Amino acid sequence: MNTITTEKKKKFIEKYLVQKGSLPQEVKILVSPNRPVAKIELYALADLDETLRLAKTWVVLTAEHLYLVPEVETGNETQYTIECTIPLSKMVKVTEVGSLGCTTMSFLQSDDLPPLGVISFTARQKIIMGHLKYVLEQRMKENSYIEGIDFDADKEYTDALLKPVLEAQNSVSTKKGKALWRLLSYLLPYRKELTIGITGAVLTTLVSLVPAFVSGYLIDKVIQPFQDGRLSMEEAGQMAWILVGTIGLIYVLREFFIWLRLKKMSVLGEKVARELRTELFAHLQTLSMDFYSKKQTGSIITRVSSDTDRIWDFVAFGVVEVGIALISLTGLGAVLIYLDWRLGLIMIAPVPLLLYAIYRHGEGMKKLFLKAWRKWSDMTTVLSDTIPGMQVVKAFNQEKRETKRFNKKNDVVTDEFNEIHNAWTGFWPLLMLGIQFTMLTVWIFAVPRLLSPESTATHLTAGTFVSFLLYMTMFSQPIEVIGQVARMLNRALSSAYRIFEILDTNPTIREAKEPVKIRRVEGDVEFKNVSFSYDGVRHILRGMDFKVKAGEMIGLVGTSGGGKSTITKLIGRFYDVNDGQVLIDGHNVRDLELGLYRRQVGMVLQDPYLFHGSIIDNIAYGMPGVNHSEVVEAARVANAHNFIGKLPYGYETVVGERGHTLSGGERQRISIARAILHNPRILILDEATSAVDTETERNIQEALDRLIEGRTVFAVAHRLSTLRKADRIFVIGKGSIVEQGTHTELLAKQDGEYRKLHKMQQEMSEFFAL
Amino acid sequence: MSALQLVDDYKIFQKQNRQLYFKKGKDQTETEVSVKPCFPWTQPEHFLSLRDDDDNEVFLIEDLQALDFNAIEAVRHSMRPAQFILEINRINSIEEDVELRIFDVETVQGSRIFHTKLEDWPTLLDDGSILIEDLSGDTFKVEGLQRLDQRSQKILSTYVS
Repeated sequence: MNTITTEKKKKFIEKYLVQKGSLPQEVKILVSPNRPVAKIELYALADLDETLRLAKTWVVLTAEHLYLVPEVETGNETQYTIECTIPLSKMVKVTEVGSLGCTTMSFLQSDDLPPLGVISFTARQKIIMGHLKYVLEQRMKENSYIEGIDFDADKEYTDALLKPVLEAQNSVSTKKGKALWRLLSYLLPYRKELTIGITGAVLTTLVSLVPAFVSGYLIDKVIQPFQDGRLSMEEAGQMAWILVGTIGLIYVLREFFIWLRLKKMSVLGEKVARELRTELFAHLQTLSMDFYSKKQTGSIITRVSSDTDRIWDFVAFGVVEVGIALISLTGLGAVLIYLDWRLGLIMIAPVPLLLYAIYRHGEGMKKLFLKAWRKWSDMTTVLSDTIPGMQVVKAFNQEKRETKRFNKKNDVVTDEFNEIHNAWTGFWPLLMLGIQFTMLTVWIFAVPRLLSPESTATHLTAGTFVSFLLYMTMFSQPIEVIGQVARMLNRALSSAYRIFEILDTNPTIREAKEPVKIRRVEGDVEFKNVSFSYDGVRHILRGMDFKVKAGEMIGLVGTSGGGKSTITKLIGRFYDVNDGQVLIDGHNVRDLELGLYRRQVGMVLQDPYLFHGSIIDNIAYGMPGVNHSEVVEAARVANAHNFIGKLPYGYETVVGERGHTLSGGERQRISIARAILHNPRILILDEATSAVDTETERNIQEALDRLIEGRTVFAVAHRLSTLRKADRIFVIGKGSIVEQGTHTELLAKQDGEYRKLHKMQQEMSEFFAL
Repeated sequence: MSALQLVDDYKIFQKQNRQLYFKKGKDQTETEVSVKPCFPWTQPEHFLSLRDDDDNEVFLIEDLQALDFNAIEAVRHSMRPAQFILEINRINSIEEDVELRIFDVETVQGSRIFHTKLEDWPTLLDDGSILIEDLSGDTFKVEGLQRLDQRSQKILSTYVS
């Protein structure tokens, strides 16, 4: 799914897990006694030895053997020796005992003999070991389906090991610098605005330096000469007003440049954020269902909302603030040295020390914030625990206890924040004291020079010193901003990584280059030797074959996890088969134009999804041209019209998020109305009546009976009574059809699975009826 | 059979293949079982659930000491992996990367680098010990902050105190 190659993953394993990224060549040679290199089917690393100390033993599966090869470090050398060779023909069972910290896997022969081999490993190796166990178990069965399937051993190993890290970190493939440049590349289309914004920022900084200089000039060249009688009142007044006017003009210009920069950069940041949001949302629409099954909804929403907002903050302010701070500091340094190099050096020398102090303070604050964040999350846990469970709290009369629990956490949070306040309120006055002490030092060195005769080489004029003083006050802010650079950059990069991870994910379901366009699907469905696995190893469907004629209703029954829902997902092409073909009207579903095909497939699920909006919007979802009478007719057929009429605003009643204002049965009937309006050629009913009461079930069943007419229907159901009208019923077990026939035919089979299920349900009904 | 125990009409024993078995009554078939402590931290030798291949409980040992020596040994042998936990005795560093917190530690069992999510925190137990679960599901235990050296304490305290 992710674009990271196996080669890159190997490097990440070495970097992040400090473990070899693939099976060492030496081991490959060791397990190939008769050939150049044996075909390695799968391999894994057992990272605990028999005394349960961290160690390394490679577990290698070939066509005929399982090898255990310990890796031993001796000085600078790594040695490998085969500790155990297990012929697969002797293995009868693989047992696994899991626990908190380790899992022990035993490869057994008979009960009376010691195990052929025993390995122990931590949870880190558990996924790949699980794959290995599964493959071994399949091998031990006769007519094993898995036999002959080609695994990419390196891919299985790297995928399994990196899965938790990749899921948590997302784009470990991207280096920080690369991610930053990629982020900044979003600014390129807005070169003009960017240039204006940056120019505004640079000019703001430069003109900010002018008033202090002019002030000094005014004192030295106008006020002082006038006081000494070297300038007339008229000359001095004229010059003074020009200079004061210049200062005023500079202030106006400065504010103008600030406005220019803020306006351009904040709008530019918004444009970049909008572009990222648009790109992200559009890309999310293209991603396959396996992406959504692996990611949490909240995490995806955060990326589109908060992460793009952080990027805006970074682009609008971060990039320029840092630039301004650097220019300010360099400019100030240069001007101070230009004005008076001796005093300039006194002022500049402590800057690295101040920057270091700010950095150290930042690190300390980071730790304090981390603690506060942790305590804050403890407190919010109490909230999210208590508020949804308020009924239980009240029922058990635990209000006081919960209040006490919350107050305790609240106090701890307050203590943590007080510590933070103590830290920063203590630091900043100290830092300012440091800066002021530097200024005091400047005063100490300046005073003798100010009082010295003008003829002295080191004499300092009052004007120069005033300029100096004004420049000194400008010193602290850029230092503070530079101290925050790392934090700002990390926040932005973290968001960028999360966004790019989605943008870099390729959809697994792709349309054919020249797709077949079926304007009207007839509804013939055929599974030809279909095998499917969600994780590439455990097969949910195994070589499944069936043919369904257009207009047939097929009931799918069987135990949970048997593969019933998977069949419907493959028909809708939400996933692609690993092996075999799904044919629709004789065409491979992979060759069909996806949008056109999916418009002709309808689904009514156990928990129907309604969007926030009116009932009419929900019924007519995806059908913008539909008129009101068609909507009302669909609702009538779905037995929904009557209850909709009781709602205050009828069809224009807003149903709230996920339709929470309606009951389960009402939501279901709206989803049926939606399906009726949609008029699909192939209809999938997945436990459509399982979550409602008997009366509602009857209403829904009536609606469904009308809906299924003239369509090919696949109905997954636990309540067998709902499948009486099915033309055929497939009993699914362990990935294949174990029985098929009509309800009556299946009931007639004495030891049949369907008969057993039916009997069990009858007994339960009788029990509850009592 | 290396160990055999009769508790009422229950037998808990280990065979040559080193697996633990449970048998109820004389005529019942023996079931291969694994041991799962119900209270792994606070009652490691009480309430031990014996579970079959499908992870269903077949018997609950309320107190291991109530069994005879051989059965205790057999259960303990089988429980050894169940009680195993990576025990941290030094923290070399805790660093942050994108979305990850990276722990470089020394454990009783050897050196290890592991990762947690930034929003996941160590769990402080009532007895003062600390549990850290990494992304893969491995659990690391610190017997107590005070038992670590000064440097390790300083590094870890941000995350637990």
